[in-house]
Amino acid sequence: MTALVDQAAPADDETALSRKIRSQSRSGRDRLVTAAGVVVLLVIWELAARQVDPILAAPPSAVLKALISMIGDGTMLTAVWESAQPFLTGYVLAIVVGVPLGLLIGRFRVVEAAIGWLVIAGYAMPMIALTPVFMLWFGLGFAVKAAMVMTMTVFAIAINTWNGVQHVPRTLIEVGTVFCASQSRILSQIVIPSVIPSIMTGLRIGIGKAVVGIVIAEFFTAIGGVGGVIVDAGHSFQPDRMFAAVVVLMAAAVALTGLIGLIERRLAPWNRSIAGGSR
Amino acid sequence: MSDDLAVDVQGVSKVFADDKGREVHALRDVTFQVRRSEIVALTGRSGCGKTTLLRIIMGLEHPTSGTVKVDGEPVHGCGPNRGIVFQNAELLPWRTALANVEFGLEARGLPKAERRAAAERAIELVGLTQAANRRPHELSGGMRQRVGIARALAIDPAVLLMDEPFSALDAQTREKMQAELLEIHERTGKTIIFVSHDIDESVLLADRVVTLVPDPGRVHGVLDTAFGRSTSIDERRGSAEFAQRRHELLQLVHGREIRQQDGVSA
Repeated sequence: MTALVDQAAPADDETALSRKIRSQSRSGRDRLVTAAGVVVLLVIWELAARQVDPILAAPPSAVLKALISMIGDGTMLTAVWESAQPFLTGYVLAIVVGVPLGLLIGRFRVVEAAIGWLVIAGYAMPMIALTPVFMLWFGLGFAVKAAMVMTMTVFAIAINTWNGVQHVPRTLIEVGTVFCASQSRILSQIVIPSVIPSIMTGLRIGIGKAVVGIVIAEFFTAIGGVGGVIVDAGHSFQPDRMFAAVVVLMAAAVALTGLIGLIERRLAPWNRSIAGGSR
Repeated sequence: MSDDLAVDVQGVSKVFADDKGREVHALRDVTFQVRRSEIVALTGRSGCGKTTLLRIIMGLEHPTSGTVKVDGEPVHGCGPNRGIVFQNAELLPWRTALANVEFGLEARGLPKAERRAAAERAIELVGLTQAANRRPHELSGGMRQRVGIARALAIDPAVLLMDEPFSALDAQTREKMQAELLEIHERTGKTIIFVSHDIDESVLLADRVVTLVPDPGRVHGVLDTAFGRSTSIDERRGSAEFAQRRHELLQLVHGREIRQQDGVSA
Protein backbone atom coordinates (compact mmCIF):
# COMPACT_ATOMS: atom_id res chain seq x y z
CA MET A 1 0.00 0.00 0.00
CA THR A 2 1.25 3.45 -0.73
CA ALA A 3 1.81 6.17 1.82
CA LEU A 4 -1.24 7.96 0.50
CA VAL A 5 -3.49 5.03 1.24
CA ASP A 6 -1.97 4.74 4.70
CA GLN A 7 -2.96 8.26 5.43
CA ALA A 8 -6.46 7.64 4.19
CA ALA A 9 -6.93 4.25 5.81
CA PRO A 10 -8.22 5.34 9.22
CA ALA A 11 -10.21 8.18 7.69
CA ASP A 12 -13.48 6.30 7.55
CA ASP A 13 -13.59 6.47 11.29
CA GLU A 14 -11.70 9.65 11.78
CA THR A 15 -14.76 11.63 12.57
CA ALA A 16 -15.60 14.88 10.90
CA LEU A 17 -14.74 16.45 14.20
CA SER A 18 -11.19 15.21 14.59
CA ARG A 19 -10.17 15.67 10.99
CA LYS A 20 -11.74 19.08 10.67
CA ILE A 21 -10.00 20.33 13.76
CA ARG A 22 -6.69 18.99 12.61
CA SER A 23 -6.95 20.61 9.22
CA GLN A 24 -8.25 23.90 10.56
CA SER A 25 -6.26 26.32 8.51
CA ARG A 26 -4.79 29.42 10.02
CA SER A 27 -5.60 31.78 7.17
CA GLY A 28 -7.54 34.86 8.23
CA ARG A 29 -10.06 34.53 5.43
CA ASP A 30 -11.01 31.02 6.50
CA ARG A 31 -11.51 32.17 10.06
CA LEU A 32 -13.79 34.94 8.89
CA VAL A 33 -15.87 32.46 6.89
CA THR A 34 -16.09 30.14 9.89
CA ALA A 35 -17.15 33.00 12.17
CA ALA A 36 -19.79 34.09 9.65
CA GLY A 37 -21.08 30.52 9.49
CA VAL A 38 -21.42 30.36 13.27
CA VAL A 39 -23.24 33.69 13.38
CA VAL A 40 -25.68 32.69 10.63
CA LEU A 41 -26.43 29.40 12.37
CA LEU A 42 -27.00 31.13 15.71
CA VAL A 43 -29.31 33.71 14.14
CA ILE A 44 -31.38 31.03 12.39
CA TRP A 45 -31.56 29.00 15.61
CA GLU A 46 -32.54 32.11 17.61
CA LEU A 47 -35.30 33.10 15.17
CA ALA A 48 -36.63 29.56 14.81
CA ALA A 49 -36.59 28.78 18.53
CA ARG A 50 -38.54 31.93 19.38
CA GLN A 51 -41.45 30.61 17.28
CA VAL A 52 -41.66 27.40 19.30
CA ASP A 53 -43.10 26.53 22.68
CA PRO A 54 -40.28 27.16 25.24
CA ILE A 55 -40.86 23.68 26.65
CA LEU A 56 -39.62 22.18 23.35
CA ALA A 57 -36.68 24.38 22.37
CA ALA A 58 -34.51 27.20 23.61
CA PRO A 59 -32.91 29.98 21.58
CA PRO A 60 -29.13 30.54 21.95
CA SER A 61 -29.71 33.60 24.09
CA ALA A 62 -31.67 31.55 26.62
CA VAL A 63 -29.07 28.76 26.49
CA LEU A 64 -26.33 31.27 27.20
CA LYS A 65 -28.29 32.69 30.10
CA ALA A 66 -28.85 29.20 31.51
CA LEU A 67 -25.16 28.38 31.05
CA ILE A 68 -24.08 31.50 32.91
CA SER A 69 -26.45 30.82 35.78
CA MET A 70 -25.36 27.16 35.96
CA ILE A 71 -21.73 28.22 36.09
CA GLY A 72 -22.62 30.86 38.65
CA ASP A 73 -24.37 28.49 41.07
CA GLY A 74 -21.69 25.82 40.64
CA THR A 75 -23.97 23.20 39.06
CA MET A 76 -21.95 23.02 35.87
CA LEU A 77 -18.51 22.85 37.47
CA THR A 78 -19.64 20.10 39.83
CA ALA A 79 -21.12 18.17 36.91
CA VAL A 80 -18.01 18.61 34.73
CA TRP A 81 -15.73 17.54 37.56
CA GLU A 82 -17.95 14.53 38.23
CA SER A 83 -17.72 13.49 34.58
CA ALA A 84 -14.08 14.36 34.11
CA GLN A 85 -12.75 11.95 36.73
CA PRO A 86 -14.18 8.70 35.32
CA PHE A 87 -13.59 10.06 31.81
CA LEU A 88 -9.86 10.59 32.32
CA THR A 89 -9.48 7.35 34.28
CA GLY A 90 -11.15 5.33 31.52
CA TYR A 91 -9.28 7.14 28.76
CA VAL A 92 -5.87 6.71 30.35
CA LEU A 93 -6.61 3.03 31.04
CA ALA A 94 -7.58 2.63 27.38
CA ILE A 95 -4.23 4.09 26.31
CA VAL A 96 -2.27 1.98 28.78
CA VAL A 97 -3.98 -1.19 27.53
CA GLY A 98 -4.70 -0.29 23.90
CA VAL A 99 -1.28 0.86 22.73
CA PRO A 100 0.73 -2.17 23.92
CA LEU A 101 -2.08 -4.44 22.73
CA GLY A 102 -1.91 -2.92 19.24
CA LEU A 103 1.88 -3.12 19.17
CA LEU A 104 1.83 -6.81 20.15
CA ILE A 105 -0.88 -7.76 17.65
CA GLY A 106 0.89 -5.87 14.88
CA ARG A 107 4.33 -7.20 15.62
CA PHE A 108 3.59 -10.85 16.34
CA ARG A 109 1.57 -13.10 14.08
CA VAL A 110 0.68 -15.46 16.92
CA VAL A 111 -0.86 -12.68 18.96
CA GLU A 112 -2.73 -11.44 15.90
CA ALA A 113 -4.14 -14.90 15.27
CA ALA A 114 -5.03 -15.32 18.93
CA ILE A 115 -6.77 -12.04 19.75
CA GLY A 116 -6.92 -9.93 16.57
CA TRP A 117 -10.52 -11.02 15.98
CA LEU A 118 -11.46 -9.96 19.50
CA VAL A 119 -10.22 -6.42 18.94
CA ILE A 120 -12.04 -6.18 15.61
CA ALA A 121 -15.23 -7.51 17.17
CA GLY A 122 -14.92 -5.16 20.11
CA TYR A 123 -14.40 -2.23 17.78
CA ALA A 124 -17.36 -3.10 15.59
CA MET A 125 -19.78 -3.89 18.41
CA PRO A 126 -22.13 -1.22 19.78
CA MET A 127 -20.91 -1.00 23.35
CA ILE A 128 -24.24 0.33 24.53
CA ALA A 129 -25.47 -3.27 24.36
CA LEU A 130 -23.18 -4.08 27.26
CA THR A 131 -24.62 -1.42 29.56
CA PRO A 132 -26.88 -3.77 31.57
CA VAL A 133 -24.14 -6.27 32.24
CA PHE A 134 -21.69 -3.48 33.08
CA MET A 135 -24.18 -2.24 35.68
CA LEU A 136 -24.22 -5.74 37.18
CA TRP A 137 -20.43 -5.90 37.28
CA PHE A 138 -19.47 -2.38 38.22
CA GLY A 139 -22.50 -1.04 40.08
CA LEU A 140 -23.84 2.45 39.58
CA GLY A 141 -20.94 4.70 40.52
CA PHE A 142 -17.55 5.82 39.36
CA ALA A 143 -16.38 2.35 38.27
CA VAL A 144 -19.10 1.73 35.71
CA LYS A 145 -18.47 5.10 34.05
CA ALA A 146 -14.72 4.54 33.83
CA ALA A 147 -15.27 1.00 32.53
CA MET A 148 -17.69 2.24 29.89
CA VAL A 149 -15.29 4.94 28.69
CA MET A 150 -12.44 2.45 28.63
CA THR A 151 -14.25 -0.23 26.63
CA MET A 152 -15.56 2.37 24.19
CA THR A 153 -12.06 3.73 23.61
CA VAL A 154 -9.59 0.88 23.95
CA PHE A 155 -10.46 -0.88 20.70
CA ALA A 156 -10.11 2.27 18.59
CA ILE A 157 -6.67 2.89 20.05
CA ALA A 158 -5.58 -0.75 19.70
CA ILE A 159 -6.81 -1.04 16.11
CA ASN A 160 -5.08 2.15 14.98
CA THR A 161 -1.82 1.16 16.66
CA TRP A 162 -2.06 -2.29 15.07
CA ASN A 163 -2.71 -0.71 11.69
CA GLY A 164 0.28 1.58 12.19
CA VAL A 165 2.62 -1.31 12.96
CA GLN A 166 1.49 -3.12 9.85
CA HIS A 167 2.28 -0.09 7.73
CA VAL A 168 5.79 0.55 8.99
CA PRO A 169 7.67 0.64 5.67
CA ARG A 170 9.46 -2.67 5.11
CA THR A 171 12.48 -0.87 3.71
CA LEU A 172 12.92 1.09 6.95
CA ILE A 173 13.10 -2.21 8.83
CA GLU A 174 15.66 -3.33 6.25
CA VAL A 175 17.73 -0.24 7.02
CA GLY A 176 17.88 -1.50 10.60
CA THR A 177 18.74 -5.01 9.42
CA VAL A 178 21.58 -4.08 7.06
CA PHE A 179 23.16 -1.80 9.66
CA CYS A 180 23.13 -4.73 12.11
CA ALA A 181 20.65 -3.19 14.55
CA SER A 182 19.28 -5.63 17.14
CA GLN A 183 15.58 -6.54 17.23
CA SER A 184 15.05 -4.34 20.28
CA ARG A 185 16.83 -1.43 18.60
CA ILE A 186 14.69 -1.88 15.47
CA LEU A 187 11.59 -1.83 17.69
CA SER A 188 12.58 1.24 19.69
CA GLN A 189 14.31 3.27 16.97
CA ILE A 190 12.27 2.38 13.89
CA VAL A 191 8.95 0.67 14.61
CA ILE A 192 7.68 2.73 17.55
CA PRO A 193 8.55 6.16 16.11
CA SER A 194 6.90 5.08 12.84
CA VAL A 195 3.75 4.11 14.70
CA ILE A 196 3.40 7.32 16.75
CA PRO A 197 1.23 9.09 14.14
CA SER A 198 -1.14 6.10 14.04
CA ILE A 199 -1.28 5.97 17.82
CA MET A 200 -2.16 9.65 17.88
CA THR A 201 -4.90 9.04 15.31
CA GLY A 202 -6.25 6.37 17.65
CA LEU A 203 -6.15 8.79 20.57
CA ARG A 204 -7.99 11.44 18.56
CA ILE A 205 -10.73 9.04 17.47
CA GLY A 206 -10.75 7.74 21.03
CA ILE A 207 -11.80 11.14 22.42
CA GLY A 208 -15.03 11.02 20.44
CA LYS A 209 -15.68 7.45 21.53
CA ALA A 210 -14.90 8.26 25.15
CA VAL A 211 -17.37 11.15 25.16
CA VAL A 212 -20.08 8.79 23.88
CA GLY A 213 -19.04 6.31 26.56
CA ILE A 214 -19.34 8.75 29.45
CA VAL A 215 -22.71 10.07 28.25
CA ILE A 216 -24.16 6.57 27.85
CA ALA A 217 -22.91 5.69 31.31
CA GLU A 218 -24.39 8.82 32.85
CA PHE A 219 -27.70 8.38 31.01
CA PHE A 220 -28.32 4.78 31.91
CA THR A 221 -26.45 4.00 35.09
CA ALA A 222 -25.76 6.54 37.80
CA ILE A 223 -27.45 9.68 36.58
CA GLY A 224 -24.86 12.32 37.31
CA GLY A 225 -22.21 14.47 35.74
CA VAL A 226 -22.87 16.39 32.54
CA GLY A 227 -24.90 13.48 31.14
CA GLY A 228 -27.01 13.55 34.27
CA VAL A 229 -27.67 17.28 33.86
CA ILE A 230 -28.91 16.62 30.31
CA VAL A 231 -31.28 13.86 31.47
CA ASP A 232 -32.60 15.91 34.40
CA ALA A 233 -33.13 19.02 32.28
CA GLY A 234 -34.90 16.97 29.62
CA HIS A 235 -37.20 15.34 32.12
CA SER A 236 -38.09 18.66 33.71
CA PHE A 237 -38.77 20.44 30.41
CA GLN A 238 -35.87 22.86 30.65
CA PRO A 239 -34.39 22.80 27.15
CA ASP A 240 -32.19 25.82 27.88
CA ARG A 241 -30.32 23.94 30.63
CA MET A 242 -30.20 20.83 28.49
CA PHE A 243 -28.63 22.62 25.55
CA ALA A 244 -26.22 24.40 27.87
CA ALA A 245 -24.90 21.01 29.02
CA VAL A 246 -24.72 19.77 25.42
CA VAL A 247 -22.71 22.82 24.46
CA VAL A 248 -20.31 22.17 27.34
CA LEU A 249 -19.87 18.55 26.20
CA MET A 250 -19.26 19.69 22.65
CA ALA A 251 -16.73 22.30 23.70
CA ALA A 252 -14.91 19.78 25.88
CA ALA A 253 -14.70 17.23 23.06
CA VAL A 254 -13.43 19.83 20.60
CA ALA A 255 -10.86 21.14 23.09
CA LEU A 256 -9.57 17.66 23.93
CA THR A 257 -9.34 16.66 20.29
CA GLY A 258 -7.46 19.88 19.59
CA LEU A 259 -5.12 19.14 22.48
CA ILE A 260 -4.33 15.70 21.09
CA GLY A 261 -3.64 17.29 17.70
CA LEU A 262 -1.26 19.73 19.36
CA ILE A 263 0.59 16.91 21.12
CA GLU A 264 0.75 15.01 17.83
CA ARG A 265 2.36 17.95 16.10
CA ARG A 266 4.95 18.18 18.85
CA LEU A 267 5.66 14.44 18.83
CA ALA A 268 5.59 13.80 15.10
CA PRO A 269 6.19 17.05 13.22
CA TRP A 270 7.47 15.13 10.20
CA ASN A 271 4.14 13.41 9.67
CA ARG A 272 2.20 16.58 8.97
CA SER A 273 4.66 17.79 6.39
CA ILE A 274 4.72 14.43 4.64
CA ALA A 275 0.94 14.22 4.53
CA GLY A 276 0.79 17.79 3.29
CA GLY A 277 -2.04 18.83 5.59
CA SER A 278 -4.72 20.99 4.03
CA ARG A 279 -4.24 24.36 2.53
CA MET B 1 45.38 -12.62 -5.49
CA SER B 2 42.68 -12.81 -2.84
CA ASP B 3 44.19 -9.73 -1.16
CA ASP B 4 43.15 -7.77 -4.18
CA LEU B 5 39.55 -9.02 -4.11
CA ALA B 6 36.92 -6.95 -2.36
CA VAL B 7 33.94 -9.06 -3.38
CA ASP B 8 33.91 -12.65 -4.59
CA VAL B 9 30.62 -14.08 -5.85
CA GLN B 10 30.91 -17.81 -6.58
CA GLY B 11 28.21 -19.86 -8.26
CA VAL B 12 25.31 -18.06 -6.62
CA SER B 13 21.83 -19.38 -7.39
CA LYS B 14 18.55 -18.26 -5.93
CA VAL B 15 15.32 -20.20 -6.28
CA PHE B 16 12.04 -18.72 -5.08
CA ALA B 17 8.69 -20.46 -4.86
CA ASP B 18 5.95 -18.43 -6.55
CA ASP B 19 2.31 -18.20 -5.42
CA LYS B 20 1.47 -21.56 -6.92
CA GLY B 21 4.48 -23.22 -5.37
CA ARG B 22 6.40 -23.48 -8.64
CA GLU B 23 10.12 -22.91 -8.55
CA VAL B 24 11.36 -19.68 -10.07
CA HIS B 25 15.05 -19.39 -10.80
CA ALA B 26 15.86 -15.78 -9.98
CA LEU B 27 19.58 -16.40 -10.32
CA ARG B 28 21.52 -19.32 -11.72
CA ASP B 29 25.20 -19.89 -11.13
CA VAL B 30 26.29 -16.27 -10.96
CA THR B 31 30.04 -15.78 -10.61
CA PHE B 32 32.04 -12.55 -10.70
CA GLN B 33 34.72 -10.74 -8.75
CA VAL B 34 35.21 -7.15 -7.79
CA ARG B 35 38.67 -5.82 -7.10
CA ARG B 36 39.50 -3.33 -4.39
CA SER B 37 38.62 0.27 -5.22
CA GLU B 38 36.78 -0.81 -8.34
CA ILE B 39 33.38 0.52 -9.34
CA VAL B 40 31.17 -2.22 -10.75
CA ALA B 41 27.67 -1.79 -12.13
CA LEU B 42 25.09 -4.58 -12.19
CA THR B 43 22.69 -3.97 -15.01
CA GLY B 44 20.09 -5.72 -17.11
CA ARG B 45 16.42 -5.66 -18.02
CA SER B 46 13.79 -5.94 -15.31
CA GLY B 47 13.48 -9.44 -13.96
CA CYS B 48 17.13 -10.30 -14.58
CA GLY B 49 17.78 -10.65 -10.87
CA LYS B 50 20.18 -7.73 -10.44
CA THR B 51 18.44 -6.46 -7.33
CA THR B 52 18.19 -9.98 -5.88
CA LEU B 53 21.92 -10.38 -6.47
CA LEU B 54 22.67 -7.12 -4.69
CA ARG B 55 20.38 -8.09 -1.80
CA ILE B 56 22.29 -11.34 -1.45
CA ILE B 57 25.55 -9.39 -1.20
CA MET B 58 23.87 -7.06 1.32
CA GLY B 59 22.94 -10.11 3.39
CA LEU B 60 19.20 -9.43 3.13
CA GLU B 61 18.63 -12.64 1.13
CA HIS B 62 20.34 -15.98 1.37
CA PRO B 63 21.50 -17.72 -1.80
CA THR B 64 20.02 -21.16 -2.46
CA SER B 65 23.53 -22.25 -3.35
CA GLY B 66 26.90 -20.66 -3.89
CA THR B 67 28.90 -18.27 -1.72
CA VAL B 68 29.58 -14.59 -1.44
CA LYS B 69 32.73 -13.31 0.23
CA VAL B 70 33.41 -9.71 1.10
CA ASP B 71 36.97 -8.93 2.10
CA GLY B 72 37.64 -12.64 2.25
CA GLU B 73 34.83 -13.24 4.76
CA PRO B 74 31.73 -15.23 3.84
CA VAL B 75 28.55 -13.17 3.96
CA HIS B 76 25.99 -14.25 6.54
CA GLY B 77 23.49 -11.47 7.09
CA CYS B 78 24.57 -7.94 7.86
CA GLY B 79 28.15 -6.87 8.42
CA PRO B 80 30.21 -3.75 9.01
CA ASN B 81 32.25 -4.43 5.87
CA ARG B 82 29.31 -3.34 3.70
CA GLY B 83 27.68 0.08 3.64
CA ILE B 84 24.28 0.12 2.00
CA VAL B 85 22.62 2.93 0.07
CA PHE B 86 18.92 2.46 -0.66
CA GLN B 87 17.02 3.52 -3.73
CA ASN B 88 14.95 6.18 -1.95
CA ALA B 89 17.53 7.00 0.71
CA GLU B 90 15.16 5.52 3.36
CA LEU B 91 16.06 7.96 6.10
CA LEU B 92 14.31 7.92 9.46
CA PRO B 93 11.97 10.92 9.13
CA TRP B 94 12.10 11.82 12.84
CA ARG B 95 15.87 12.15 12.88
CA THR B 96 18.03 14.99 11.67
CA ALA B 97 20.45 14.38 8.81
CA LEU B 98 23.31 14.01 11.26
CA ALA B 99 21.38 11.64 13.54
CA ASN B 100 20.47 9.55 10.49
CA VAL B 101 24.14 9.25 9.61
CA GLU B 102 24.82 8.15 13.18
CA PHE B 103 22.30 5.30 12.94
CA GLY B 104 24.72 2.67 11.65
CA LEU B 105 27.29 3.65 14.26
CA GLU B 106 24.84 3.28 17.14
CA ALA B 107 24.24 -0.38 16.39
CA ARG B 108 28.02 -0.75 16.65
CA GLY B 109 27.93 0.49 20.23
CA LEU B 110 30.44 3.29 19.67
CA PRO B 111 30.68 6.00 22.35
CA LYS B 112 28.60 9.05 21.60
CA ALA B 113 31.50 11.42 20.98
CA GLU B 114 33.17 9.07 18.50
CA ARG B 115 29.86 8.50 16.76
CA ARG B 116 29.24 12.19 16.40
CA ALA B 117 32.75 12.80 15.03
CA ALA B 118 32.49 9.99 12.46
CA ALA B 119 29.03 11.18 11.38
CA GLU B 120 30.27 14.74 11.00
CA ARG B 121 33.16 13.58 8.83
CA ALA B 122 30.79 11.59 6.61
CA ILE B 123 28.36 14.48 6.32
CA GLU B 124 31.18 16.77 5.34
CA LEU B 125 32.33 14.29 2.72
CA VAL B 126 28.96 14.58 0.97
CA GLY B 127 28.95 18.37 1.39
CA LEU B 128 25.98 18.64 3.75
CA THR B 129 27.53 20.17 6.85
CA GLN B 130 25.24 23.20 6.51
CA ALA B 131 22.11 21.03 6.53
CA ALA B 132 23.22 18.57 9.22
CA ASN B 133 20.46 19.53 11.62
CA ARG B 134 17.60 19.47 9.17
CA ARG B 135 15.11 16.65 9.03
CA PRO B 136 14.55 14.63 5.85
CA HIS B 137 11.32 16.43 4.92
CA GLU B 138 13.27 19.68 4.88
CA LEU B 139 15.80 18.29 2.38
CA SER B 140 15.61 17.92 -1.39
CA GLY B 141 15.69 14.46 -2.97
CA GLY B 142 19.35 14.85 -3.89
CA MET B 143 20.26 15.97 -0.38
CA ARG B 144 18.38 13.04 1.12
CA GLN B 145 20.37 10.63 -1.00
CA ARG B 146 23.59 12.35 0.07
CA VAL B 147 22.60 11.65 3.66
CA GLY B 148 21.96 8.04 2.62
CA ILE B 149 25.46 7.84 1.16
CA ALA B 150 26.96 9.49 4.26
CA ARG B 151 25.15 6.99 6.50
CA ALA B 152 26.72 4.14 4.53
CA LEU B 153 30.19 5.73 4.51
CA ALA B 154 30.11 6.58 8.23
CA ILE B 155 30.64 2.96 9.26
CA ASP B 156 33.78 2.95 7.08
CA PRO B 157 32.85 -0.18 5.12
CA ALA B 158 35.11 -1.98 2.66
CA VAL B 159 32.39 -1.95 0.03
CA LEU B 160 29.59 0.46 -0.79
CA LEU B 161 26.47 -1.29 -2.13
CA MET B 162 23.96 0.94 -3.90
CA ASP B 163 20.54 -0.11 -5.18
CA GLU B 164 19.57 2.18 -8.08
CA PRO B 165 20.76 5.08 -5.97
CA PHE B 166 19.88 7.90 -8.35
CA SER B 167 16.86 6.50 -10.18
CA ALA B 168 14.39 8.44 -8.04
CA LEU B 169 16.04 11.79 -8.76
CA ASP B 170 15.31 14.25 -11.55
CA ALA B 171 17.72 14.29 -14.49
CA GLN B 172 19.73 17.33 -13.42
CA THR B 173 20.15 16.23 -9.83
CA ARG B 174 21.06 12.76 -11.06
CA GLU B 175 23.91 14.10 -13.20
CA LYS B 176 25.20 16.13 -10.31
CA MET B 177 25.06 13.17 -7.96
CA GLN B 178 26.84 10.96 -10.47
CA ALA B 179 29.73 13.41 -10.67
CA GLU B 180 29.74 13.61 -6.89
CA LEU B 181 29.89 9.83 -6.52
CA LEU B 182 33.02 9.74 -8.67
CA GLU B 183 34.51 12.46 -6.50
CA ILE B 184 33.69 10.55 -3.31
CA HIS B 185 35.21 7.47 -4.86
CA GLU B 186 38.36 9.35 -5.71
CA ARG B 187 38.68 10.66 -2.17
CA THR B 188 37.82 7.48 -0.26
CA GLY B 189 38.94 4.77 -2.68
CA LYS B 190 35.95 2.64 -1.61
CA THR B 191 34.92 -0.34 -3.67
CA ILE B 192 31.48 0.38 -5.09
CA ILE B 193 28.88 -1.98 -6.50
CA PHE B 194 25.72 -0.36 -7.78
CA VAL B 195 22.61 -1.65 -9.48
CA SER B 196 21.28 0.42 -12.35
CA HIS B 197 18.90 -0.06 -15.23
CA ASP B 198 20.36 3.05 -16.81
CA ILE B 199 22.81 2.15 -19.59
CA ASP B 200 24.41 5.61 -19.66
CA GLU B 201 24.90 5.70 -15.92
CA SER B 202 26.50 2.26 -15.92
CA VAL B 203 28.97 3.17 -18.65
CA LEU B 204 29.78 6.58 -17.21
CA LEU B 205 30.40 5.55 -13.61
CA ALA B 206 31.59 1.96 -13.61
CA ASP B 207 34.99 0.49 -14.35
CA ARG B 208 33.24 -2.72 -15.35
CA VAL B 209 29.61 -3.52 -16.02
CA VAL B 210 28.22 -6.95 -15.21
CA THR B 211 25.17 -7.56 -17.40
CA LEU B 212 22.52 -10.04 -16.43
CA VAL B 213 19.77 -11.55 -18.57
CA PRO B 214 16.52 -13.01 -17.23
CA ASP B 215 14.90 -16.48 -17.12
CA PRO B 216 16.90 -17.59 -15.26
CA GLY B 217 18.92 -14.60 -14.09
CA ARG B 218 22.50 -15.14 -15.12
CA VAL B 219 25.60 -13.23 -16.11
CA HIS B 220 25.62 -12.62 -19.83
CA GLY B 221 28.79 -10.62 -20.11
CA VAL B 222 31.17 -8.34 -18.31
CA LEU B 223 32.06 -5.17 -20.15
CA ASP B 224 35.24 -3.27 -19.38
CA THR B 225 34.24 0.36 -19.38
CA ALA B 226 37.04 1.99 -17.39
CA PHE B 227 37.87 5.52 -18.35
CA GLY B 228 41.02 7.10 -16.91
CA ARG B 229 40.52 7.77 -13.22
CA SER B 230 40.77 11.51 -13.55
CA THR B 231 38.51 11.83 -16.57
CA SER B 232 35.60 14.01 -15.57
CA ILE B 233 32.09 12.84 -16.17
CA ASP B 234 31.52 15.49 -18.84
CA GLU B 235 34.65 14.44 -20.72
CA ARG B 236 33.45 10.87 -20.49
CA ARG B 237 30.06 11.72 -21.86
CA GLY B 238 31.55 13.60 -24.82
CA SER B 239 34.08 10.93 -25.76
CA ALA B 240 33.93 8.48 -28.65
CA GLU B 241 34.56 5.57 -26.26
CA PHE B 242 31.37 6.43 -24.43
CA ALA B 243 29.25 6.04 -27.55
CA GLN B 244 31.03 2.81 -28.44
CA ARG B 245 30.69 1.25 -24.97
CA ARG B 246 27.15 2.38 -24.66
CA HIS B 247 26.36 0.57 -27.88
CA GLU B 248 28.17 -2.55 -26.74
CA LEU B 249 26.37 -2.57 -23.42
CA LEU B 250 23.00 -2.25 -25.13
CA GLN B 251 23.83 -5.33 -27.19
CA LEU B 252 24.74 -7.25 -24.06
CA VAL B 253 21.68 -6.18 -22.12
CA HIS B 254 19.48 -7.44 -24.92
CA GLY B 255 21.22 -10.78 -24.77
CA ARG B 256 23.22 -10.43 -27.97
CA GLU B 257 26.95 -11.03 -28.31
CA ILE B 258 29.39 -8.27 -29.11
CA ARG B 259 31.29 -8.59 -32.35
CA GLN B 260 34.77 -7.58 -31.24
CA GLN B 261 35.46 -9.75 -28.23
CA ASP B 262 37.59 -7.31 -26.28
CA GLY B 263 36.40 -6.71 -22.79
CA VAL B 264 33.92 -9.54 -22.88
CA SER B 265 34.23 -12.58 -20.73
CA ALA B 266 31.67 -15.27 -19.94
